[in-house]
Amino acid sequence: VRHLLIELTVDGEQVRIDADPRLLLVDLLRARAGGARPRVGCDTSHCGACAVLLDGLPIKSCTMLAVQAGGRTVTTAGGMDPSTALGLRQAFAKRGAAGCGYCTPGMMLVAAGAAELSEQGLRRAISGNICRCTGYDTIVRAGLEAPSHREVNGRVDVAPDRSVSFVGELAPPGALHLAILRSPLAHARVTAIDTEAARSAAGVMAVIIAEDLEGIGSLGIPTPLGEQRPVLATDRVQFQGQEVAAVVAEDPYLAEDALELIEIEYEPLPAVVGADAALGEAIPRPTEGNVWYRWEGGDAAFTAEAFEGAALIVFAETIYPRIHGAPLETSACLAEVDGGRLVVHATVERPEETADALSGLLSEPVEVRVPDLGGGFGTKRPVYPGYVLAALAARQLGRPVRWAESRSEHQATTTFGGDVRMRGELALAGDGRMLALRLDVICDHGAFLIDDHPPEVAWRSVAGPYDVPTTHVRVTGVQTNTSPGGTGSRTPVRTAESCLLIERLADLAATRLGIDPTDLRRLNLLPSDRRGHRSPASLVHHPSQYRRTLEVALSRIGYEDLRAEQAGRRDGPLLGIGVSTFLGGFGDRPSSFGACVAAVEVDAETGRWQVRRMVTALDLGGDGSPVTIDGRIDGDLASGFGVAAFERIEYDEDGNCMSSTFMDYLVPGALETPRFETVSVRGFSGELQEGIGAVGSTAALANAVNDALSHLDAPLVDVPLTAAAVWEAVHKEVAS
Amino acid sequence: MYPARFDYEAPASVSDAIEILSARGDGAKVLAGGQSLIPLLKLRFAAPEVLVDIGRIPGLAFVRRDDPALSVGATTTHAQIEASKTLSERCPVFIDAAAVIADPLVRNLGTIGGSVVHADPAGDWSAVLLAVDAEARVTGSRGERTIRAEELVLGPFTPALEPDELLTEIHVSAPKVTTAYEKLMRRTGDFATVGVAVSLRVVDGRLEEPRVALTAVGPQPFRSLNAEQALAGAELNEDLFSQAADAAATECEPAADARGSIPYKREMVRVQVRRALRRAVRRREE
Repeated sequence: VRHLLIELTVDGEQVRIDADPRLLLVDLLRARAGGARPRVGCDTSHCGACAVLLDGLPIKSCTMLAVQAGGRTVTTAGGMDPSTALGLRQAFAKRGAAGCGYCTPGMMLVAAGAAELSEQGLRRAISGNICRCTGYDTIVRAGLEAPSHREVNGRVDVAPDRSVSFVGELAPPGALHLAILRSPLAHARVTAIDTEAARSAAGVMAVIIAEDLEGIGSLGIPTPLGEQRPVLATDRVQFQGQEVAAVVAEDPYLAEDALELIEIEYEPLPAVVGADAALGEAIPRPTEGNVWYRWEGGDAAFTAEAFEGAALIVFAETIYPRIHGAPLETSACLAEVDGGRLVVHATVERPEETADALSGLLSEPVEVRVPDLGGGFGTKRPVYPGYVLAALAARQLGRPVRWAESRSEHQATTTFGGDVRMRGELALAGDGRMLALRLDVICDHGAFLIDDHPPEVAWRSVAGPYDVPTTHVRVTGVQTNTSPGGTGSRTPVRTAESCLLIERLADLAATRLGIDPTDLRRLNLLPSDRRGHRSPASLVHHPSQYRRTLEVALSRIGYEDLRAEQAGRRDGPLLGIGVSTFLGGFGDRPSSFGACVAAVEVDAETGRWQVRRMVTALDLGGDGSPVTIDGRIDGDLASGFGVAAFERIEYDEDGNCMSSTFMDYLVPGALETPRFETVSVRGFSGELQEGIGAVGSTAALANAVNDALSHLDAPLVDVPLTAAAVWEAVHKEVAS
Repeated sequence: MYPARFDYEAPASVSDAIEILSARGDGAKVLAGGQSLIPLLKLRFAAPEVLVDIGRIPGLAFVRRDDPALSVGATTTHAQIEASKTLSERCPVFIDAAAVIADPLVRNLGTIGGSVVHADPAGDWSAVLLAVDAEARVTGSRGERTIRAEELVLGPFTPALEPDELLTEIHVSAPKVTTAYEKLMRRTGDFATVGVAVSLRVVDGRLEEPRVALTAVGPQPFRSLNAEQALAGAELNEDLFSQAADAAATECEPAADARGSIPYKREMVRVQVRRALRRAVRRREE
């Protein structure tokens, strides 16, 4: 292969390099010393983290060859006109528009070039750039305000320019690249591995398979049940994407070339996909079926008794889908030996636990450092084999070793959230008072139980903020041949799931009793005189303002007017109104409370729906210390919207992951995401829990869309409320 | 995700490109804007021996008016089409489609020619070309030829071009203002769940030369001849649109996937045909 001389202008400088024609423009730009480097977020031209200007026009540098840019002018965020950049930086800082910062340079470049300085114009301009932190509104606002900052250039101090540095930006000289070969099959015996050709391939420094790990520390990452998740598969693979071998090479292109040269023979085994299959007869696991755990909480007898005396029992079965935090930065690390000590710079949410785990695995002290994190949302809690392999390779080869997942690897192999099937029954008195709640839950944890939230912690708040005298919960955790995980979620563990169920039951009960769903909630929210109330599942509530918070949300959105409009509608889109209330805190004392009210319009012809308004009222349990409500709340709400609208990881019957890119795992963009209104009760003091806004937004939207269909006697639609699913419900042709 | 190795050629003229394509045969792949091809290379779903980058050939990016005909050069980007005043005035279906392809950044690199030759069964341009009776001008080692839109795609991802042929321009001999493209998609940047392109003339209250082309609901984009027949010569009214929509819905062959079931897609064809016809007819009055 001929190398080519590429000459181009980058940020005003002439660049001449001799390059392999397959070099991507983004990699040329990332290899430059200094300056702002475009980032890689998705590989498939969906996210815009790699955005640069080519002769003044924004493009995605991960989807262009460096050689195509020869003779042309490339501008990165670092090469923007300084006054424009200053204005944008100030506006982004003022608005809190940079969450983790990973998407920010791309957003700024694109926003600066927006053809039309209006809200919709900016949303259109950034519609090819994904942000997972902010929900876009603060970015749009910052983009609109930035021009005025240009005028004050030079007179105002530069606002704190978050000087961000991600793992991928650490570039020690001589760093090697580690790439992982993953199982193409969900379940198979590994009968032979031939690495000979790979070992002798160009630029390859090492090829690692399971037997190479023997004698070097432990071969498996300990799981909470005292089992092990293999660093590399030995004789069996248990999910598509499981780590089978690794290559360390001079650059990531050569590493990937070598992966193709490794030959592995698999003997396929039947795959167990989905909870029903796991509880059925196909059983690869020697213990009790495919069951990781069974847990029962609350009072079965007392609850059964309450059901006996109930005037009304409503039943709902719903699924909270398998979702993924999908931070823009995938999992990555740079492992190096620093003064004799192994240091792993890693994208982890829990550095201490990761350091302990790596030290144990490698039988030597390992230091874990976390530079800026490009989003986590629970996906970066576990210890993944990539960290172990990179550390091991750095130790053995004496050179820094970098590992970074592709988007597909990230989506298909790191921990997920949800994948919970819930069957719930709510017993009520004739006046609508809730008497008892009974829940049967199945959680799919995939191939290994890496989730460290025990069910007794995860399923404590099943009744949410409602005064339910007795509950009984049964939870079954099952094993399947899918990626391992379960609580990789930005919300406090399992709160979004249980909120979805109780809020659905509340709506069903209101419909059956013929009362307004908000009245049912008013009746059942814990009253303010019940401070310190101990719920049956032993959560201690501080319900001082639950009802008031709900009223604030309802009055802000104009609930009564919406109902009147709904009743008077004759044509046009269907109007639906949905409410949810939720606890934000986690642990023994949920210290915050929220109420979310959504109004949606459903196009009955296509099943598409959009949010007309969505108001969230929050009581953060404040005691005076002010909290900044920035893009985080919007980001939470947007993620809840994403789950309501289209986020879902799906598998086919053979266990192939069907949602491993942003082409298939749809996350909301600037044009899809509505503007959220958030109102404070008690002036936003207290503590802003991570993920609080995501707890109830999915449930409110699900209730709203189903409310829009309520006059049609349509079957209930589960999340995600895709256009196709909504249409099927409207037309009652429920897909089998 | 990194491409496998390939050789790279950047010919300076169409004839140089043809020469390289002839010499390298099936191992060669033409690179235009790269917005479909580069992701395929990165996924290693495609691994050509040589990429022939036609992005440096001068004179292939243009919108040309030659009354009444219109021509669009093969390497004209979606963004350039979206911004074309000529197309907006003379044949707005081009603007409709360009504005809903991928996202603004991708549209700055992706080209109409690359998209057409990629022949994705859910491609937007193929439906537009069918609706406007376009022809593809193609140059190869045996000279130039013209391929009608109906004959341009042989099957999924299979254009009717020989390995040594290059698409140079899209030619529309009789463009109409009363055209429209309606694309139903799950979110910005998504491929169509259903895409419908229509073109027609309204003469004395009657529809003439109606074209109804569908994408994403068959192995390749196609014209619904039954829908066209329902419209041809008939008096303009909403019932007529429904008849055409029903005909198209019966004729399409959608597959069930993450975007929806077969009944859903069939119904969406019905909805989108009606919406596209309404939008096209409204343009008569603008």
